[in-house]
Amino acid sequence: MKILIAGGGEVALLIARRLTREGSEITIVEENGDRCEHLEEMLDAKVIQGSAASIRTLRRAGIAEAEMLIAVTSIDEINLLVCLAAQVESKAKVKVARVRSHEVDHWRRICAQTGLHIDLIIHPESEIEARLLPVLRVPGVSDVIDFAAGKVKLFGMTIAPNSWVAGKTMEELDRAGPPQNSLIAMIFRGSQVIIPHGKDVVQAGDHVYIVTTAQDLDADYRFMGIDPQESIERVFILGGKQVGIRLAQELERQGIAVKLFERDARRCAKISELVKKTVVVHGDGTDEATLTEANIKGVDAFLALTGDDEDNIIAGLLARKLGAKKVVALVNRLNYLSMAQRLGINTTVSPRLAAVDRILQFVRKGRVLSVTTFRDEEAEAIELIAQPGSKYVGKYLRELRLPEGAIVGAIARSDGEVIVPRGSAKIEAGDRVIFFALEKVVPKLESAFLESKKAEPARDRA
Amino acid sequence: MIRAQAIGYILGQFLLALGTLMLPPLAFGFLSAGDDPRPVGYSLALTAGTGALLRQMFRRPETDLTQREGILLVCVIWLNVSLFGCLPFWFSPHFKGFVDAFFESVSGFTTTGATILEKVEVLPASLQFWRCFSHWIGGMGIVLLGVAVLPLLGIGGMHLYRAEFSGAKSEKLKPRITETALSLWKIYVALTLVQYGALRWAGMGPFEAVCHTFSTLGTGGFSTRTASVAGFQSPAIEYIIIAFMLLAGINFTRHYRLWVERKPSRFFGDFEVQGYLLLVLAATVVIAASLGFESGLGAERAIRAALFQVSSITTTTGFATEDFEMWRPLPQLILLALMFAGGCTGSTAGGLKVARILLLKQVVGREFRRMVERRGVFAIRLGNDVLPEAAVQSVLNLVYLAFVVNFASCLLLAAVGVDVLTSISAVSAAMFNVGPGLGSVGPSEHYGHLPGLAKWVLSGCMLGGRLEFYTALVIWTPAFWRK
Repeated sequence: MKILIAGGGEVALLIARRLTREGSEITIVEENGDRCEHLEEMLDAKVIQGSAASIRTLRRAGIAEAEMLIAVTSIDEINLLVCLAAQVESKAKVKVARVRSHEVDHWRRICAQTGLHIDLIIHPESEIEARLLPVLRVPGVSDVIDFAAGKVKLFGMTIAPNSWVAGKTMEELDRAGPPQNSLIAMIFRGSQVIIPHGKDVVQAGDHVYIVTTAQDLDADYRFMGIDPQESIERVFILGGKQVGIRLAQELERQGIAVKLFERDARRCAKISELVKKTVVVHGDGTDEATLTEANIKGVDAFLALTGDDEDNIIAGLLARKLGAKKVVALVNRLNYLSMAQRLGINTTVSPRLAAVDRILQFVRKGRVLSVTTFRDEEAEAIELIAQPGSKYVGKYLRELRLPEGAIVGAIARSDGEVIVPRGSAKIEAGDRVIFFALEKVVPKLESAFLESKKAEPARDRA
Repeated sequence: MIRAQAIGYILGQFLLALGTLMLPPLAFGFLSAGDDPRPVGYSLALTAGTGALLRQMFRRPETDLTQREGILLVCVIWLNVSLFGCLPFWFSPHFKGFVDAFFESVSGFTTTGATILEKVEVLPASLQFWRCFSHWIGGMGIVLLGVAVLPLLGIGGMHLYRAEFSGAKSEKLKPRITETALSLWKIYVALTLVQYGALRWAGMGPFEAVCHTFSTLGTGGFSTRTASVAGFQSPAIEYIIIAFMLLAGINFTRHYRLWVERKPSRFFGDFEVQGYLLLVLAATVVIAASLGFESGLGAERAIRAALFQVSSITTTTGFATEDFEMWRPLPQLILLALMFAGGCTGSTAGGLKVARILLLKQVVGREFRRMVERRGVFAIRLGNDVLPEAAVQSVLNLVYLAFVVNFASCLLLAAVGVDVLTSISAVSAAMFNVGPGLGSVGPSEHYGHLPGLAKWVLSGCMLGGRLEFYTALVIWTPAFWRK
């Protein structure tokens, strides 16, 4: 597929790298010359230097032939403008734009009413919000991800040194009688990603992901030594940017006491107009005295959401030391993500990764129902519908020769039954299959599930 | 970091490919009368065997090649292709020593066309074919061929492409590097078929037509006859070869615009194509005038001879229809100057390339303007594009480097007793991949009589020139190997 990407930032780079690997032809329009050179170095893609707001540049980049347009420049207006240009100049069937304005819903409506057809308007801030809300009530859990319309859950947690799980093999954990539908799907250890098997050991400090069903979720939390709370009472938010304000508004609606820390006095005044019950504190949230004074001890969650990665990580660690039950840090730089988790941040969120996930999921729509990337794209969770004729359909799991570094995490049958399968389960055509795999084997697996036996993966060129 | 594993594995792939390319000459060895298939047969076995062994010994790289690995790999591939490509010559009785065979092979793959053979006709069909075939492979670039057909990793392919293909930075035809390489090769193959048809129509035999087509489009210059194209005594053949030499000297991305996208304006409107055609025209007029008025050739013959020699030297092919050493001094010097200019970037021609010469002209012009307007800021433009200062610098450095290498090589040749005119012209002819020079290596002579060391130096010059110096020279700097 021919894809035109407007804007050459990190999101564009990540998407382009993935999509070229899957066989698409990518052209990127980027204004900054140095950045263009960097992109040329990193990607097997065509890079056109120029402004994405210029029709001539877009033509030079082949907008007329593009089948899909992804507008992810740093400026909302340009992103919408590019979509507008594509509406007239291009046969692009699919248009995706990133809009970071908090008025994104209005823009969605206006685009629809004026007839500007944009298939997906991504708003990373609300993606982050959606990702954070479910994890706040469970201390120690980094993220909870839904599959199969919420029937399948995946949660991540870091194994504490004093956890009873530490040092056990998969087989030993199995004998300890976990809830029936549960499985450790991935282990992140240092820079390693392990798709575990029977003899693999869970170590203290590992970040593990466990797949389970919605019914068994709480039982699974308890099995892993987590005490899920019925409700939370107090949340601290650091940084009065868009995502912080949105979360504060949502949390106060749920009746939770929120304190929001912001350094800039004028900004504090502005925020105080936007929120109702939230206490806006003018002060430095990375400062121990300020936090202690605000009574941080025992707070249910501390969300560090400033625009500065380092501040967020340090403040998060400080809050943990001061007794916050759960700390969340917003991290923009992808290479910080795993480091932050290892240092002791419970949950990291990244607007970029959120945007990338959403776009990739959309690009593959139809074939693949959802894609979630973990860490610096090292592993993925893929949800798709097994097609009749696939070589994996109709066989027992233990007979499948899955590529190394891949595991079937859950199967949602068309009749509504959901299982976390063992070797004796069978995949039937039409099942929703959720599998976990290292990034490098994903294309192979996807085509095996989606294509019939005769059309063996011709896409596997790497 | 350079991974020996990756280099070894991919080199193995390329040697296997080279072995495959030896199949056609092997077929000639079996089929044509009085030929001996053994030299090519042994070479094929040795090349493919080494390739398979390397692939066995080393692991396939899991991550993309880095830029450094790309550069090193291109050098290693070219060196090895020249080495293994010389085996058929070495195993045959027609080449005296290893250095002769190596020189001939390098001259073939770098599309130089300088030969050490006194008489070409003594070679059997299999070796004749291999000589010309090596031009064709090397013309568009063996690495580019590899990028197009071998399952290499995308970004790694990009680094390889850049290190081998001149002017690769200017324009990428398709988003994907394999597609770009494939498009370029397709045009190349199409031109090959057309020229073959034209030469057959003009009355050339099938075997010689194939060989001359390969030599023309690779801008090589090996012929099946000692007298080169002059041996055919056919104006029609000469005009056809003139046309295809000139086409091969034009940037292949321009060809793509013209033949595939059918946008003539992006072909004829290109500043480099215009400059190149103008250069050929101007040189032809002056030389034709000299030949007509001073040497007394007839009008048509003078124009044809001038056009042929100008095209042959500018595109760095090196075919000859006339012994230009018999000409007046001015035409001879013009031809020597044309060697430096060469064809367009992104073509199969060698030389410094017309675009760079045009850029030099602008840089000089800017210095003059700066002397007048002390505070003026002037951009360097190539066509409609403004060139960043770093790119201008890099071209200036390249030209400087070319002259330094040129001079040093001349000194080495002079040191082993080669006369001045021969040294200067032989080094230039080798470095810019032309073939025939002046002095004792003129169009009617050969390189066989030069001392062994001179042949090694010239082989190095040919490889250095083909890879445009930087790629070939950077691997000898300590910084390249530092972690």
